[in-house]
Amino acid sequence: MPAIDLIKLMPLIITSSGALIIMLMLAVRSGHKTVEIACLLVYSIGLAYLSKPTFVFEDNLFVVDGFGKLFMGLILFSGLIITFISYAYFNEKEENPKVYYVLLLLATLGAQTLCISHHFISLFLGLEILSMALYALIAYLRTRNYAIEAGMKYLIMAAFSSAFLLFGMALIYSETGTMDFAAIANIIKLQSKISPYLIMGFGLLMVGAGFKLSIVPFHLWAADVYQGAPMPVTAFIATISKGGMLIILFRLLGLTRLISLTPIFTLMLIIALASMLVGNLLAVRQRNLKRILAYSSIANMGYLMAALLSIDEDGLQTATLYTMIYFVALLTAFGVLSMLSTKERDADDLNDLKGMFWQKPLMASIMTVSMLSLAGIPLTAGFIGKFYILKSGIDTGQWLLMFTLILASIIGLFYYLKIIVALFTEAPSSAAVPEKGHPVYYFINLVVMFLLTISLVVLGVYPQQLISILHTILS
Amino acid sequence: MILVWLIIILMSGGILAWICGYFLTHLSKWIALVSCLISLIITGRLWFDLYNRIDLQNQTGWLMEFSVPWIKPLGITFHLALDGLSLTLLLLTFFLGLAAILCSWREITSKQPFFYFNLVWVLAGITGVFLAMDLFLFYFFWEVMLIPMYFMISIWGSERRIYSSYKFFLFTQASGLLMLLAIITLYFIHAHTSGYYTFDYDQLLTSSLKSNYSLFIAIGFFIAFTVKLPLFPFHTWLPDAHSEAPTAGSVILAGLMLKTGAYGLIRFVLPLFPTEAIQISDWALMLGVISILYGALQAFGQTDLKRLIAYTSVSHMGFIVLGVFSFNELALQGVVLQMITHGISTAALFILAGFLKERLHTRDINQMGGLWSLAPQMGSIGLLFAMASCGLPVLGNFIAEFLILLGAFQLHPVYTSIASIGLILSAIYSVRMMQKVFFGEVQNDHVTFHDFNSREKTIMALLTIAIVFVGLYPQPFINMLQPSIKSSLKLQTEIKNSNSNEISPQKGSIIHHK
Repeated sequence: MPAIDLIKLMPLIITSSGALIIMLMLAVRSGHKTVEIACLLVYSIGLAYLSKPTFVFEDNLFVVDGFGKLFMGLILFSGLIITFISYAYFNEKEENPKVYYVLLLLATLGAQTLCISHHFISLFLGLEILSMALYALIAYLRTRNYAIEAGMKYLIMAAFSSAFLLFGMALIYSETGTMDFAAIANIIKLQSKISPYLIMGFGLLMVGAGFKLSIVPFHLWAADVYQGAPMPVTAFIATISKGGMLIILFRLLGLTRLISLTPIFTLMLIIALASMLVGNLLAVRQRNLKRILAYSSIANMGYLMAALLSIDEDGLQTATLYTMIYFVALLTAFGVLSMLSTKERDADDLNDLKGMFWQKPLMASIMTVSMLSLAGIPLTAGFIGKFYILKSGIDTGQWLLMFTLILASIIGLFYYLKIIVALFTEAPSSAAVPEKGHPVYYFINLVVMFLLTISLVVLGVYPQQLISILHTILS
Repeated sequence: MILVWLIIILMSGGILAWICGYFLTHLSKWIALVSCLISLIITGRLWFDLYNRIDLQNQTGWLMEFSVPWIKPLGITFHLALDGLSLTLLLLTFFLGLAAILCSWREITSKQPFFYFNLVWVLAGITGVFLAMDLFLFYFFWEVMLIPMYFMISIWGSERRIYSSYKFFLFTQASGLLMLLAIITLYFIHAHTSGYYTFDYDQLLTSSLKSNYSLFIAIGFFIAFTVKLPLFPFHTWLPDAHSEAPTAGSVILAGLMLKTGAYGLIRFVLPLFPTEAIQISDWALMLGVISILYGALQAFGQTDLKRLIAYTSVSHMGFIVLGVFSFNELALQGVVLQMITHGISTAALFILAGFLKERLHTRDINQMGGLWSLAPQMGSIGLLFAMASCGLPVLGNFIAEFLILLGAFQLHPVYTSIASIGLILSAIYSVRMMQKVFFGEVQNDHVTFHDFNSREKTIMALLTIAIVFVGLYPQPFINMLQPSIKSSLKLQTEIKNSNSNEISPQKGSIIHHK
């Protein structure tokens, strides 16, 4: 790669040098606030750089196209929001909060790498950078009850799934002789009969990818890790870490149309159906909010797989739109929850939300809109996302998938409604409201969450702008 | 544009009521009242302006229309349109909305601002449903009216409110999603045959939809609307939701929300799926008749006053299905009149039950009794509306049910005969209700029971005048509805004429006087 091409990879360079600079800042003992602002700046510069139009750049390992840039932007945006909510959350804790931002940026770097990779090597590289940072992030508050457990669980599972992933890649490579996504697809499409090694290779690949996405049957870690991780890290796993893997699937199976091959289609169909149903069913009986959101994310990944399965001319548009809307709604929910968290514990019990509407109407309204959006009720963006999935599903005649989706959405209503009901019930004569340690940050967070909520409603009522932007970027 | 204003007035009125309520609690109900009143006046004016433009013989499209593109890439337009049917139902909406706001005046004491916000937004959603002529927009409003209603039940309801609101939301949401599926399928079938992507009602109407799926699509719509109506196997959400909701909630549920189901059948199922409607008509008629009898029998067995009234609704809605699926002009006139009169009479009964509950703190009719001697005014009004509910002449319900039975009898004498047993049963449950509540022994602890105050008198007077007016002089409504009903039935009559020549399109002679 000539040195001049490095500039094409500027988004990655910005994030990684940002991580280095913050590390240096730690050496000179900068304060928490300075570090956080530096982290915000890194994300903002990255976003600003991405908004500039550039030509498509293609290399052996990387492809910087509109699709990749869009996802990268989404990831950086999520990172920005997570940094916002992190300050107030971590400042109260005993542990040194500053290293957290280095890890956050490194994990983001991994996800960014995934966004623009179209080759197995870069895929694995990005995945490992992401995972390494996540091991530490999950167990960051190591004195907490579940933190070490969650971290260990994630470490072992991720290591296992990486092994599967590598073996899958090796099998595919041995059959096709290439590791480039498009080349693999071309070779497979030429074969009259797909060899069992290839099918096995894709199966093993899906074990690795499925683990990261926490789709059924690789979902068992999700609830525990969500619960054990600190709230902003949970938000990170739910959005950025999954976003990185999603785009890999969209590239590998969607853009190349490998998904239309019968064995891969059947495999994905089963995964999608199981994820939608199992995720929603498991969430129904939960009372822990983080666990509810973990199971709901399993179901939502199922919806996204459904979008991937019903791919047509603008199939990726559907999946991308849904991902964006889902991320915004999730970030809002996690933002509210981390604002409610106290020094001792995360606000992850249903009781923590009881009666919130009558004490903090704005925050409760934000939470309500986010839940309604996750449930896919009109007036919120979630409905537009679900509508698009239904639309492309019906267009391609996926009746089984669509009926399951409807059934799953109805089951999903149970627990979203449960959260909303908790917000609106009478408060159990709560003790004195704890002092807000950081009134300024509290206010800033509230404003950020409010803006996200407004965007959810505006997108739900008038989505045309976003749809046409997506249309131009993706085609 | 005036149609958009109706929705904007209500929605902004709701938000204003919410926000102002934080500063001055009592302001919120006044804002809600005023915004509803303005809408009522606008609709009333529209009625008088448009009444003379109704053309009895020909169907000449919409009386008023508003259309702007909304989501262009998908062919979704913000298309509102008004015809006689919508106008009549809008008038009912704002009239009952007014009654609902007035009857909550004292009943709702906690969290008033949010209550009136929800109340007004339900009305806005219902207005949207009656006006939307784009199927996507229709679904949109269909859902918009649900969420505030859900909050009304789950926050201000009585003891089992959480359970009932869950049930209400899940039933309607499930059926709504089924409808969404049907709508999208219809959209694609239309697009594949005509090459033109649109959700617009007028456009979908003109295309000849022949596809293997059209029966399933029709069933999807049918189920969505009959869950809302509700028809016999889907009715179980209704008694719970009605009895646990606050009075205003019950009034809007029974008076308006059930009517959106009936409206959907007339507006969408009949014109869009003429042949499929005939195919499913046998099942629909059977379920309708079962609903009539089952609802009436259930009503007879209830001890909870609000549940009793709720079951009478199931019974009366059975008549609507019977009328709609007779594909007959007379019957359909009866159906719309039934929607209006049932709306008024049930609303009155629910309000009365609310007044009783405010005074006695119970809905159990075994704990009532002898109230006539304590509150003769309340008793007589109760008697009036109980009689309306069992279809006594002079009161509106008589006209409606008579027309339905008359129209349906020409085609389905057996079903109609069985259905008319429902009238006898309705007399039985009405009389039992009167007996238990207002006659019999006076219970000791009710000595301080007081009669109507002036606000309550106003509400009841308005409702009484309305029901008697429709009962004595329904002709304006019949004239207003005539063109819409003709156009709804146009395709059915064509199909029937081509099938058998001996059946001429029925036109009752009483219809044409103006």
